[in-house]
Amino acid sequence: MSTVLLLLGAGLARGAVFALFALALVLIWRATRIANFAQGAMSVAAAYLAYLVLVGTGSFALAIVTVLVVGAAIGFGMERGLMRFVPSRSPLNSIIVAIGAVMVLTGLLGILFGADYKPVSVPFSREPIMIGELAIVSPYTLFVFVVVAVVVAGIALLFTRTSLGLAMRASAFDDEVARLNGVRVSRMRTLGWMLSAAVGGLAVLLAVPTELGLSPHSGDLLFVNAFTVAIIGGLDSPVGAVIAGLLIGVLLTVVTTLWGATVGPIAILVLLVVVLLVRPQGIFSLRKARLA
Amino acid sequence: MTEPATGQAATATRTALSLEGVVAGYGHDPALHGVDLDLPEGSIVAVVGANGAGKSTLLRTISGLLPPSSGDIRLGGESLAGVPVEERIRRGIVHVPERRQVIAELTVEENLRLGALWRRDKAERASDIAEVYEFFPALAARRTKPGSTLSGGERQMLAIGRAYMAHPKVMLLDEPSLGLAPKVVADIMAMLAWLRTEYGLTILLVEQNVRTALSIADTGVVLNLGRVVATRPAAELEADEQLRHLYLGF
Repeated sequence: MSTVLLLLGAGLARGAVFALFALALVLIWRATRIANFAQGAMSVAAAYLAYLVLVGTGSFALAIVTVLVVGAAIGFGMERGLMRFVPSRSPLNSIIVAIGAVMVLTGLLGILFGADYKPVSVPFSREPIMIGELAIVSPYTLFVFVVVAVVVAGIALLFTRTSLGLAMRASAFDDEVARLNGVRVSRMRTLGWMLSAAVGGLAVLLAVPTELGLSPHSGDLLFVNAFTVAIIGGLDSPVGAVIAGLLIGVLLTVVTTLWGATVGPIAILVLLVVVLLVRPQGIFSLRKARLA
Repeated sequence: MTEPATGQAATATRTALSLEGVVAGYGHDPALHGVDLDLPEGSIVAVVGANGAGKSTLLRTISGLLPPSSGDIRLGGESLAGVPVEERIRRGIVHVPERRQVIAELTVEENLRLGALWRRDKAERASDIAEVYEFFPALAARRTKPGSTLSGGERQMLAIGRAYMAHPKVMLLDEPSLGLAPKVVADIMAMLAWLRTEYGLTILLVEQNVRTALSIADTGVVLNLGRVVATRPAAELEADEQLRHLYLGF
């Protein structure tokens, strides 16, 4: 019983990070119809700066603020400085440019910080809380949950309850009609990149102490998993990203525990293939995705 | 105003929108070859013509989606050259595009809000939405439903309601009657006529449905292969058999 609870807790915590990172991918996809292959590297770059703040001040809260601000700044730079000049005729263009950006960013991080793993301390205990004989979850897991829940709720409120969110959605769905109604679509695109990069950076920072460790390549595996999550949930669906993220976190944890670490990625791949065969638009996508 | 602003009365009133020698199009062969057009304030002008006459291009050029290669477009005497699309609604031009007029993923209410997002007067925006619902009760009943669930007529009502939310000076409409039942078309035309009398709105209507368009218009403009071939009072144009045969096919 205790093991099941612990597994579930660990799986959900892992999944929450996947969900957050996948959400970042979905945000950019919805805003610009670009699958942002540079997201891992961008997020890790933001996490490195947050790490410097963490080491300097010892405050995890300050590190979170840093990762959000720096992430948004990196998103701004990527969109204004690079991605908006990429011709959108073929989706391959932006993918290739993004992969180029990944090489530059990881290279820079390697030069500046070295290629080795930096130890990052956990701000809360990782020892599970005990209720009687039952081990439930660790305080850090709980903390990750709360942060992810707050961010997801905040994004949901932004998109459904505010004028800015409405303008961003209108730009994403139909940029011509949005422009005719006075929405500054290119500004909304930039905002979409900033929001996405901030969220992605936060996901990496949360996963660094327990899951990833900090190195220039920390984001690679997370990106692969989260990309799968986004595809399974539906690239168009923020709700899908969150639900699929949690599901895959649990699946990965259970499979890894039962059959070993090598089986985990295979299980995810199988799930991806099944979803692509049966419901290629993603489980939670309501309609056929609009192509830009 | 007892008599609708016909060609003659137009010279007496101020000009809301004017085009001077506008050339525009896609690629090497322009769709508009030097179009001149004058819209007196508070008038309804119908641009008619066959498929491919350049009607939609004309509206896309005025709303800025397609920059003209030469010529000038003036709103209240001020040139719109270099004014981006998203700025033009703030100047008072609103464009109701053809067919996919509403955003299918947004609810009816969100589509309406979208029309006035740029306005700062929040309280008035809410009362404007109420007004649109009053005029189109069908929309009120579906305010939380996504645009994709609306019928063609409801979509057109929503598109016009959204345009109204912008408090425009000039409204451009691209084939508002396309694919709609006669009763719905009549309702929509009535709404346009009411907007003109109530708010002094200037309307530029592009239509293949010539009779309907001319029935509410003051002036009819015949566009053929990107050129204005006739500008007449609407009633006169409807009666001119030769023109009708030549360019309008009935």
